[in-house]
Amino acid sequence: MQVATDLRIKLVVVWALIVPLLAFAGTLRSGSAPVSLSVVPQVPRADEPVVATFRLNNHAPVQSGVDYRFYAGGRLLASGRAELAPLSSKQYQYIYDLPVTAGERVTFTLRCRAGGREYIKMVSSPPFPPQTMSSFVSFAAFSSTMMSSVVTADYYDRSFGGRSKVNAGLIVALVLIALLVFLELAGPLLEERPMPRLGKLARNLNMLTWVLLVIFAGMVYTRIIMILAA
Amino acid sequence: MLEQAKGNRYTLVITLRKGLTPGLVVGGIGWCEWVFVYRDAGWGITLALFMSIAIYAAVSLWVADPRLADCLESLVLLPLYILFTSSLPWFFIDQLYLIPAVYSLVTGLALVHAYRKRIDLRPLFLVPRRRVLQSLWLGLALGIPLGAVEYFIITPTPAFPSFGLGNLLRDLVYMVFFVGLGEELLFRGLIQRDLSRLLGWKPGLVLTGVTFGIMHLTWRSVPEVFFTTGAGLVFGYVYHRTGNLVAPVLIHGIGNVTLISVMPYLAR
Repeated sequence: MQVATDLRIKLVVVWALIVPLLAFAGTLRSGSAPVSLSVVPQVPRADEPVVATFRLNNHAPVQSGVDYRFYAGGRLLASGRAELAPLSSKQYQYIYDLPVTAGERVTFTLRCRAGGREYIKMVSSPPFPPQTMSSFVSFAAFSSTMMSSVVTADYYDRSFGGRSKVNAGLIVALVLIALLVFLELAGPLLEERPMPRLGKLARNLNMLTWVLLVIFAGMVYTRIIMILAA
Repeated sequence: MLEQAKGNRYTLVITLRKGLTPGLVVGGIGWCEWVFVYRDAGWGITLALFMSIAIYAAVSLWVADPRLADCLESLVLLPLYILFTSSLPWFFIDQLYLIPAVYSLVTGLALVHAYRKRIDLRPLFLVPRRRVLQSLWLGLALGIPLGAVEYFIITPTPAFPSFGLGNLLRDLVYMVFFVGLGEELLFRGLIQRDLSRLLGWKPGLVLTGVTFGIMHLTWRSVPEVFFTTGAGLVFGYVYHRTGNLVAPVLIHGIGNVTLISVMPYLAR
C-alpha cells in the first residue's frame, strides 16, 4: 500500500517537473511564431512614453496574410491586415504616452491570426511596478504570492549578475559547493557508523542542495544564452 | 470558576511557549520577505538561503520534539519557495505559460516534502461525490465575494478589451489546478496541519493565516496583506471544518478568477 502511494507521489512530482519544461518548450516553439512583441523601457519613468514594438513575420516561402489586433490596457490601439512577402517581416511601433501612475501597470496584448491559427503575445509594463504588483493582470495578479518583478531579465541580471548590493548568484554557487562537499564527506562517515543527527542533517540539506542545483543550472543556462546572444 | 480561569491561563502559557519557535521562524520569513521586496532582492535571496540552512540545522541537531521539528520542516518550505520563485530565469518562459510553470514547481516542492515525511495526501483530496458538489458551492459562495473585495483593494486592469469565455476558462484552470492547488497544499495541507498538531487548531489557524498574509508582502500593499491574512483564515477554517483541501482550493481559485477575469470587466 505504502509502495503504491509512494509511487503515485513520485509520478505526480515527475509531472510537476515536466510542466516547466513543457512551458519552456512551448516558449521556444512560439519563438518561431509569426509575431513578436517588445516594450521599451521595461520600467517607465515619469513623463517618458512607453514604446511598444511588434513584428509580424512570414517564415513561409509563399506570400501570407496576417490579421492583427493590438491592445494596451484592454483598449484597442490598432488593428488591420498585413500582407507579407515570402520570408519577410513587417514592424509596427506605437508610442503609449498616457501617464502610468505609481502602482499602475499596462498590459500590451497582440492577437494575430495567420494560416488559420491564432497567436497571442502579452507584455506588461512595468514588469515590476514601482508601488505594487496591483495591476499586473497577465501573470502576477493571479499568482498571489509571487512578485512579478522576478520574471524580468533586468531583475535577474541585477540579483545574479552582481549589479545588486550582494551577488546572490555567487553566494548560491559558494553555498552549493559547500553543501556538496559536506554531503560528500558525510556519506562515508554515515556508512561507517550510525550518527542520527548528522544523518538527518545530511538528508535535510540534500533537499536544499537539489533546489540550489536547479537554480545553478538556471544561472549557467542564462550565462550561456547571454554569451551566445552577445 | 477560579480553577477554570487558572487552567485557561496555563493552557495559554503552554501554547505561547510552544508557539515561540514557530512564531520566531514566521517572523524571520516576514523579515526575509520585507528585505526582498523593500530593500534589496539579492539580500532577500541570501537571507532566504541562510534561513533555510539555519532551520534545517536546528531541526537536525537541536530540536527534540518531533511535532516542533515537523512544523519547522514545513515552514522551511517558504524560504525554499522564495528561492525557487525568485532565483530562476523565468523571463525565458512566455507569460502565457508562467503560471503553470511556476506553480507546478511549488507543488512539486510540497509533494517532495510530503513524500520525505511520509504524509498521506489522499485524505486531503479524496472526498465523496456529494462533498465535491458541496465544495463547489462553497467555492462559489465564498470565492466570488472574496475576489470581488480583493478587486477593490488591488484593482487589476483588464488584459483584453472585452470579457472572453476562453480567457475565463484558461484562467480558471490556471487558478484552480496550479495556483489554488499549489498554495493550499503548501499552506493548509502542510503548514497548518503541522502547526495545528503542535499548538491546537485555533493558534495553528491564526499563525498560518498570518504566514499567508506575510507571503503577500510582495504586493507592497498593507491593505492587501491584511486582506490575505483574513482570506488565509477563511481558507484555513474551511480546511479545518471539511478536513480536505477540495473546498479551499476551489475558493482560492474561484476568488482569483473573479479578481482578474471577471471584476475588471464588470467594474469598468
